[in-house]
Amino acid sequence: MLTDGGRVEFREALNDRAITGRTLAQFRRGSSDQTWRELLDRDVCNSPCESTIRSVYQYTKDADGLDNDEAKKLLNAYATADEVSVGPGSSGSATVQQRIDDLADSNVDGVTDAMADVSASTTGYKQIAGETEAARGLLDGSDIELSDDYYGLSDGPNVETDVDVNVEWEITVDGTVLDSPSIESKNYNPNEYSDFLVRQESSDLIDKFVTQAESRVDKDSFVLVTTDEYLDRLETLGETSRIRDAVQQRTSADAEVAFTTYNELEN
Amino acid sequence: MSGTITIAVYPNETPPDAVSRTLDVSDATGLDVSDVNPDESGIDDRSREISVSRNRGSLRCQFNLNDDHSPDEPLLSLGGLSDTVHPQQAQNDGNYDEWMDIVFELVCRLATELGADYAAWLNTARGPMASVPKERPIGEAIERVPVFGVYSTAVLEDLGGVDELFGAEPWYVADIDGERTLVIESEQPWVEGGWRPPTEAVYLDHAEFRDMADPDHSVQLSDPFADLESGEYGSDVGVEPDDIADEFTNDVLRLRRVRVDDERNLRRAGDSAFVRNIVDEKHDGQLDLIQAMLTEIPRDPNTDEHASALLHEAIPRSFVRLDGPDDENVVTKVMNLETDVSKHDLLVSLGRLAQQDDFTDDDLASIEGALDTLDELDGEHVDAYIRENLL
Repeated sequence: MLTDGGRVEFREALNDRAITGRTLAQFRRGSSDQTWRELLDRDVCNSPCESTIRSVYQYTKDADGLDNDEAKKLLNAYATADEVSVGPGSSGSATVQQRIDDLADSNVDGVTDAMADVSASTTGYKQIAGETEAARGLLDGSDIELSDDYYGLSDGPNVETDVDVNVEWEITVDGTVLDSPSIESKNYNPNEYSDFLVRQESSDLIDKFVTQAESRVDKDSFVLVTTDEYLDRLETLGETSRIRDAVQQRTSADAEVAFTTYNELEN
Repeated sequence: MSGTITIAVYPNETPPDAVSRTLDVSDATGLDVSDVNPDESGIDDRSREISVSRNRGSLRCQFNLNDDHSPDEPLLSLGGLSDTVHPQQAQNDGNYDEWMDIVFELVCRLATELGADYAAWLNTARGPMASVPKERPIGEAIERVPVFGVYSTAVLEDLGGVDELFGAEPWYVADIDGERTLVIESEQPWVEGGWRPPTEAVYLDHAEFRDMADPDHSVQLSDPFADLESGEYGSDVGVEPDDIADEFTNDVLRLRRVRVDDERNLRRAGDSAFVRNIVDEKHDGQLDLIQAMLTEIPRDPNTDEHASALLHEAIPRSFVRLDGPDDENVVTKVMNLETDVSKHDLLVSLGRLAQQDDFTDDDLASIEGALDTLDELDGEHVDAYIRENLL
């Protein structure tokens, strides 16, 4: 006889929600161009393709590398690449993985942690695509790390904020010389945001920069790296000057904010 | 990160004193508004941003007071919430449910005070624009209703009523003031942080939980052995009663080659030890059906009981049937793989393929062929291949 608790647990184990995965998601979305037969055919290059999958699993081999769940999350994030049409990531997951491999080959710190931090979603995909694109643009001549550092203030504005890329060097952004700035990557497509959502995002960003400036010693310059399209939108709405002014007013050391795009960093 | 949360409030008409009404409501909800000077908080001439707080929680109220603002712009949006309303915050901060109660009360009271037609919980990680009305009427402009929303009677009518908002019954429905209804789609993600909205409060007329977390709807169960004749062979995978947990891990799953006896029991092919009852009667519920696998255990000295892990409706008869006791099929081939991937999930996923209308015997053979190929690959590639292509 099974106990009542045993039966309930058993039913949980049979529950549909336990089954996740890309194949099933594709069926549910009613994807018609990819039948299950193609998925069974080992020669078909799905998104991500096998070389990318192999490359990701390379990072599971080291003791301090990715674990299998983290690798799977990253690959599931890569599987959403088709949904990104603007900015980093829009050329596909193979390009993003290539960026990651380049950074790892250049011994940039924090690459594995940045990979492990990705959620299995479009947001996660855009996050890793943006961070690695920004880091690559800064790579020449700079000592950089993909950061997993967190900073916060117990009395706000944020209890906890994260840094995307740390630069330990002097760099010039948009004509301004900045000493060892923190880089914030926002890989956004402005078509996905009404004005009020852009403004709320900007105010979140102000809080974040203020928190970091007030909680860290010698960190009083920040760079927002975003897509050309999103930076245009920020300028049209007057948000770049609002962010710059607000951060300066609310920090004791008159912290500076500069704005740039992934493309500008690249050049 | 789990996306930025913004709550947008859309009234039919902008009340002339929207900012002071919002401050009054915030005050009534227990938020600290003493430092707020609405006249000195302009983003531009017709936009305002004020922050209200309580203990460690705070939220930002942005107003768009332009008379001719575009239809996607709400009168009021609440932001600065991302740090405090994601249930993961519950682990950092013991006050999660208290803070969610405040946010919930604020939304209800603001909806009434500002005369909201519509209010929506928007998450930038979930395509927020699908829930932003880009034209009027609102009820016809929303592509996807938010996980948490407030609707006026007219907007709700345009959307087809509460029962049509989601594919299934919503978790929670509240009548706020006789003119507005608040609907929350499901208990996820809120219960992860331990929060449930109230069913009684002075600012609510009536509220109830509709979907009483009945998991029976989630998956249908059936026994793939039910169609086998007495004397036929098959392969069953199960767990011993002591190993039952809330998921089937590979290390507790066991394969048994079995034969159907005249009493509709499965017995081990080699020595006829009892394994389980076949469940081919109608049962009132899933729990009864699960129980029925091990109800009539014969008084044999040697039994080898387990509860089958193959009752998921997706797993067909053709996966479990064997021509003879030493034959192979999809189940035996999956169980033979050296992999860390969940074999139960893999069987169900393959079962889903077999449910396709155009699935033939040739297709079954090609699944079996693919499993043979996998068996020949070395370990790490097996896992990667299954994860990417078969799960």
